[in-house]
Amino acid sequence: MADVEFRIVSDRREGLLLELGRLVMASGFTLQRQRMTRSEEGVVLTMLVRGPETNLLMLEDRLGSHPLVQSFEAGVPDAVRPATTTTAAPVEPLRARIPEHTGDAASTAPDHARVEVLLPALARAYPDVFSRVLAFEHELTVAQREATTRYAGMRLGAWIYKRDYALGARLNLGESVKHIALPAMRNLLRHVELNDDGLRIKNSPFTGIGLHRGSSCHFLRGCLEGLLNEPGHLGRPRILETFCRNSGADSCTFTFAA
Amino acid sequence: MHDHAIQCTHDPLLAALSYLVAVLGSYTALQLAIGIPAATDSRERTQAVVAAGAAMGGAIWAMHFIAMLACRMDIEVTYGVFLTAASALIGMISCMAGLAITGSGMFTWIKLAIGGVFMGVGVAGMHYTGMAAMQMAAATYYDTGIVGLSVLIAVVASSAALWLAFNMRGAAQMLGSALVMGVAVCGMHYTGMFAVSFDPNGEDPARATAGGISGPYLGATIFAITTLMLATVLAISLIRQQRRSLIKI
Repeated sequence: MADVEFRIVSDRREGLLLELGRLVMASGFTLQRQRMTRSEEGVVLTMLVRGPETNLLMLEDRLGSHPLVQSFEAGVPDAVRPATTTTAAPVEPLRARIPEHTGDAASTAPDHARVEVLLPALARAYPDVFSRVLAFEHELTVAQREATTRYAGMRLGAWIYKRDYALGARLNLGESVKHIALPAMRNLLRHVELNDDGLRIKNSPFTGIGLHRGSSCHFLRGCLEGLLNEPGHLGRPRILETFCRNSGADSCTFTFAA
Repeated sequence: MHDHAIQCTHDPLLAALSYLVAVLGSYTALQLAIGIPAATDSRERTQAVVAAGAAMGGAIWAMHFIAMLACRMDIEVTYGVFLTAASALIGMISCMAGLAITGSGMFTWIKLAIGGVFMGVGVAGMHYTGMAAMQMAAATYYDTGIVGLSVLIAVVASSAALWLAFNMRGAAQMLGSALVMGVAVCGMHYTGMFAVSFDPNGEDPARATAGGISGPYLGATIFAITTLMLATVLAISLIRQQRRSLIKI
């Protein structure tokens, strides 16, 4: 079992603890204590969590790609530090304790800073966002592409939800896909349809551009995640790209599971 | 139909206006109502329910009395103050209940059905209480079968409007729900009017209509309510537009 302290910066206070608390529990951890403060960076949530060390990377990934999380730091809490460590010392980086994860996590984690720079341009250009996203994807390292474009998609999806789809009843996952995800994607792309297989996109701009092997529509997947995660009441539905034109399918298909 | 029944002939222009007012009022009410699920605390939720229910009840009331002004009868008619006010309250309270039920928590078909019944009964309750407020030298008779049909129309069309308002997003949500709710209100009213007949009862007209509200006062009240609804629509759209532009990505 590992005790880890997360310091999370967000731009939103409402629902932050609830959302991240759920995420912590879904990753097999328990929340020991938490504190929320305001700082110049935004809302700072400090959470002490306890759980299996093997799940730590998964929790970090989930936190890193959560739309409410702008940035986070993980460290060993004061109470479990060796006696020689002074309490005034800065939080010890977690990655020093689990070096086996260090390389992968750092290189594949989303580049939040670059996404933050991209997002205002996407908001201005919306719904014609793809030329900017493709150019952005080109600039990323191969290892960062999936996580970073997916994170950018999540942020855009969450923004679209808040802007155009927030008013109305809380819908279940199937109805949310039908009445929120489908029209939102149709606003971005022309040939989008929903059938029993899932949400099908015939003209994804991310296919056949030579940047990926296998499924390539990480930005679109992120968009769908942002659209469906933002309401909050659905938890974190799993969205998978089960077929991709980049892998030879006739269209890109996304499936949804609660 | 009874012998010597007094005929009600509707002025088509005022009848069309009654539908327009019903749609405008429904639009206002449903725009307020779709904010109910987004309320962050119980106070905000109560405010949204009360505002939406009051707007919906007011819209039904205004539509009803415009349609009554459109009904030309060869007899003097006034409206009793108490029952006229009660009819508005019945409409408002029923609609508040219907919107609160449909708009709370996760959307379900059961909630929609219960909400639709409250709304439909609210529309019908307002109508028949408003009819009971009529003061004239005539007795009122109803065909119960058609009355039942009018209530059914109100319940079914209200449920459809609520489904559109809460379940859909975009133009169908904004406009579709208001147009369908307009059908619920007007469909119920004009079916209800088809169910009624008025027979002269030989009472002195001056005595029968004494103390009631007559056409000009009713017209002024309807004008005030309609203006208020228009102002509310404008305010809602301006506030939402401003909030939308402030949403950070």
